[in-house]
Amino acid sequence: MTSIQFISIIIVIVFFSGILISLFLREQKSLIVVPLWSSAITAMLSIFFAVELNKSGPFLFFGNNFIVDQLSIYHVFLVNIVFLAAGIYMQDYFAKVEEKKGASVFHYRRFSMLWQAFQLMLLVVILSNNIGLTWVAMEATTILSAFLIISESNSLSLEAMWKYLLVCSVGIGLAFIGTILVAAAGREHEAAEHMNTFSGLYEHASNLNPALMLFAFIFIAVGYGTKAGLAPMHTWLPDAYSQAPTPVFPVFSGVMLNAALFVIMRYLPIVEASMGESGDARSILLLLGFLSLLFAAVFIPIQHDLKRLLAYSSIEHIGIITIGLGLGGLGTLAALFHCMNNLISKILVFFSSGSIIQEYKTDDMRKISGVMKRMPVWGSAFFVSVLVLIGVAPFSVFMSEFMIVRAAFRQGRYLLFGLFMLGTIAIFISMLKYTLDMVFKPGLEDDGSPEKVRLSNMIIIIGSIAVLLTFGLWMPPQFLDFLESAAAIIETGIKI
Amino acid sequence: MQNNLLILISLLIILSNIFLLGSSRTGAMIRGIAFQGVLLSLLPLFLPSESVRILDIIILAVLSIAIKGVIIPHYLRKVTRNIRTKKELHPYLGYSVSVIFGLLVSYGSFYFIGKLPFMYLSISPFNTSAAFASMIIGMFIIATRRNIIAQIIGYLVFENAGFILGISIASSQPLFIEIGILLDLLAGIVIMVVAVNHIHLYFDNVNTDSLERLNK
Amino acid sequence: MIINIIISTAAALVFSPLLIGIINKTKAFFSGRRGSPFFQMYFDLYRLLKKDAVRSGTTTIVFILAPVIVFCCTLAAAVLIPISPGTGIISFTGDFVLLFYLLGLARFFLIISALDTGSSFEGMGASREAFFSAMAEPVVFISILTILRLNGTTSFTDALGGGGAGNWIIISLATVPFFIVMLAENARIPFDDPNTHLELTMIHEVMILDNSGRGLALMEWAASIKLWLFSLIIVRIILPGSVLSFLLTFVIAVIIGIVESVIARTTLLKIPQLLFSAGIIAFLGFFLSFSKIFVWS
Repeated sequence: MTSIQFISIIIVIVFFSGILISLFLREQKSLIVVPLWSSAITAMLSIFFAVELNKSGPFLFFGNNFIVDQLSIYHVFLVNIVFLAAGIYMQDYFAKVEEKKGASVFHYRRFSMLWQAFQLMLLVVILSNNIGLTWVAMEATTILSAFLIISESNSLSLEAMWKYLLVCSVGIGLAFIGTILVAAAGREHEAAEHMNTFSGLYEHASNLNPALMLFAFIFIAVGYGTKAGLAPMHTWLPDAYSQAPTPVFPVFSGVMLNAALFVIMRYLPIVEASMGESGDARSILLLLGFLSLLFAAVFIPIQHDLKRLLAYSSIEHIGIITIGLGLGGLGTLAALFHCMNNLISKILVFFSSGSIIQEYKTDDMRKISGVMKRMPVWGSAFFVSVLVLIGVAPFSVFMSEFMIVRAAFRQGRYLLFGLFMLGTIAIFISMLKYTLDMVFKPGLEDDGSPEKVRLSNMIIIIGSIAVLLTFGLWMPPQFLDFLESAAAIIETGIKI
Repeated sequence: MQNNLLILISLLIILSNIFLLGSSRTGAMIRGIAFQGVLLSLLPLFLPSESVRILDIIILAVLSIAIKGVIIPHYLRKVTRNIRTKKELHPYLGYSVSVIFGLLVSYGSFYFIGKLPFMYLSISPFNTSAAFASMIIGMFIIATRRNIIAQIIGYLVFENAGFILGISIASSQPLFIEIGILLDLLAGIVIMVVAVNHIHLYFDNVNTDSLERLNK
Repeated sequence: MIINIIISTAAALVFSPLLIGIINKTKAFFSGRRGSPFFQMYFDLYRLLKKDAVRSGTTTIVFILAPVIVFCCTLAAAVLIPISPGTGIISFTGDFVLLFYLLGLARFFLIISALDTGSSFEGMGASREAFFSAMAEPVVFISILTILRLNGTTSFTDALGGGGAGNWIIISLATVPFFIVMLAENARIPFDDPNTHLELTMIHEVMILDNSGRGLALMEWAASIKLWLFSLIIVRIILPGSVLSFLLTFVIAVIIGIVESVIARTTLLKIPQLLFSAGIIAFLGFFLSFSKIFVWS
């Protein structure tokens, strides 16, 4: 596996040099281009991981500390897609911000450096096989992303950042305690030196102390769940979203939340196997998932702020993924599928709503109207993306939600089925109402200047709608195979 | 004897927790948390010597004394001087109530830990129970104090709980992970201190009452 | 039995003034003075006992009787404590209540004799004394319960005269609050300053301001016996096995002297906090005395 080690070293070097280059650049434009390029290089290099995986199956590298399997490679690609899209969108966004008030070079430099370090740490979280390293990288993402929230310092964004720091730090602390408990369970085993890795724990899962593993999983689910924005630990999320600059949104919503859930996915089969597939760990996830869905369904109808609305929508979708994980079987497959759908629709909805907010200079939904007339491209993108998010039929989000419903139905959990339908329908109605008002209600004034949309942004819009539509109508069999093997890792654990 | 020393350290940790719960002055709290940090750093020295290398232990102890006992308290003291808050105004719960809560939690966790089916794993059940008590007390301080520095100290108590637990039941982590954990803590505190400085610029005072505009 | 009583009484009467002398000498040493001789208190008592008493016209019989009652009650309490293993005079379930209520009776008469003078100044001291001792009492009882649990008896004098020590951690958790309460009960720094006659700082000194001659002698002597009693209890808790452990009371006196030299008197408002923290430590020790861990170790 030396080629893989070589490539991962190159990736690390790309990021570090990116951080260093940003330290010396003086132009704002180039400071924004650097993160885009490092994301692009990483995206290309990570194809080698996929190739190697295809050739030889799951493998470890750097002395058991890192792992590549279908599950992690799937998430690596998701991370790269979002960072690439965000990098492209960023160029346009910050150019407009610059016209408006001219933020200082210092802010751009800080943003560029933190952005790259943040991406590197997320990759470490996903590729790590060592439970301690996973935790360290996860904590590092919290610290690094704190300053991404305050691109412009004002009292509100400071408040959001403070809440984010405190709540997530405590959550990550709980996850640390869970990690320690798992390590303690592993220490009992004779093969103790492999027992602080996920693969080692999978291998000997049936010999671990079940009570201790369940106890640990509660801490892990609550701890990483805080970072994933699961209710009732979600309180930091709407505040952080309402203050962060637009390019940061999909990264938070799609990537960081998913990465936190990804860690829970890693622990889930170990805990379940140690308890003899009793389903207790899955019930914890079901509970958290339904709470999130419930909180979202209750809070979405009373929002006035567009960004906060989307934050609660994020909570809803994370809740849906968690429910899928909690159901198991077909639900796991649906959850993984939903990860991707959610992510791509999030790219679309955050960028279009960001452009709308930038144009209208307010995020109060009561003051936004006639979007379709004033900015037809972003307006229709926004409308389509909301339709996707609430699960309208031909799009892939509908497909994955439908799969979850089917999983619940097949397992005979009719109560869960009913609750799920109730929650999603409530959200469907209230979000549709807001959106129709914003998009089609005649606007009060129109300055008449035509909307200018960059070619790169057009590519993002059309590309993501195409992907969502394609996967909604037709699932490529290779992709399904790939997803099934990734779901099998969550179901039964990894065999190397 | 070694066992007794371990118990003594955990007792002093509990007492310092209760001191933190009962003290209203920021300076006193910082002194308390520094004391607790130094105490914790002594814990690795009691690990069974066959499971870890002695050099690792010494590096870990020295690093954590430096970070938890010296650097972080120094930073906190500096920021306290900078923002000129001496006294907590009105915590959400009174000091005596907090202290009684701390006592109950300390004893309750001791009772509860004894019931758990895996406590034979820890080097001393007493340490483990002190860790769980610290965890709850840390969260309690974060939740009940209005002063931002006090909240940071609550977070530190909470983190210390993880450290004690890590030492007392999972001593097999490699050194680089432990150092990573310490550095993460340091970075987190530095960022929080920077945030406090910013907050001070914008709000004139650092009570979290002024941080309640984003509530919906 | 009789011999034990005689020995205890004699020890209390003879050694207690020496404790005061040792404390004062230690304080003198720390402040760089030569200080009064070790036996200064004996001279003082002798001088005062020779003198006749002058008393204010407003006082009643209470004021005359109080020094005698205070002295007798304190002495009786002191005699109850065995000075070496197996020399307890009486022992029954809950005897520590008798012991501390003898001291309580003494305190009651001290307080009402202070009130009897009709001086608002002494009334203030009396109210403080009542307030602080009310807060100190639970601490004492909790510490004693801890000791009783460790020794597995229900009689305090048995526990002190017994000879079986428990785990040193719990013992120190019982002893530290006891030491703090001793400072409070005996009006030492940081609770009260025995040297000053400044009106705002005094608690004990102010209450005996109107006593003179023999009355004053008995009051002072009773105070020193109380100090002897508390230090004897601490010594017996720490070293229950040794015959000559009572000699360690002089070490306790030196420690008190050091504490008084290095700590300043706290403000009156902080005194409840101090006693409260002593109570916390005592509670912790009490909780721990139930735990199995000290059986495991």
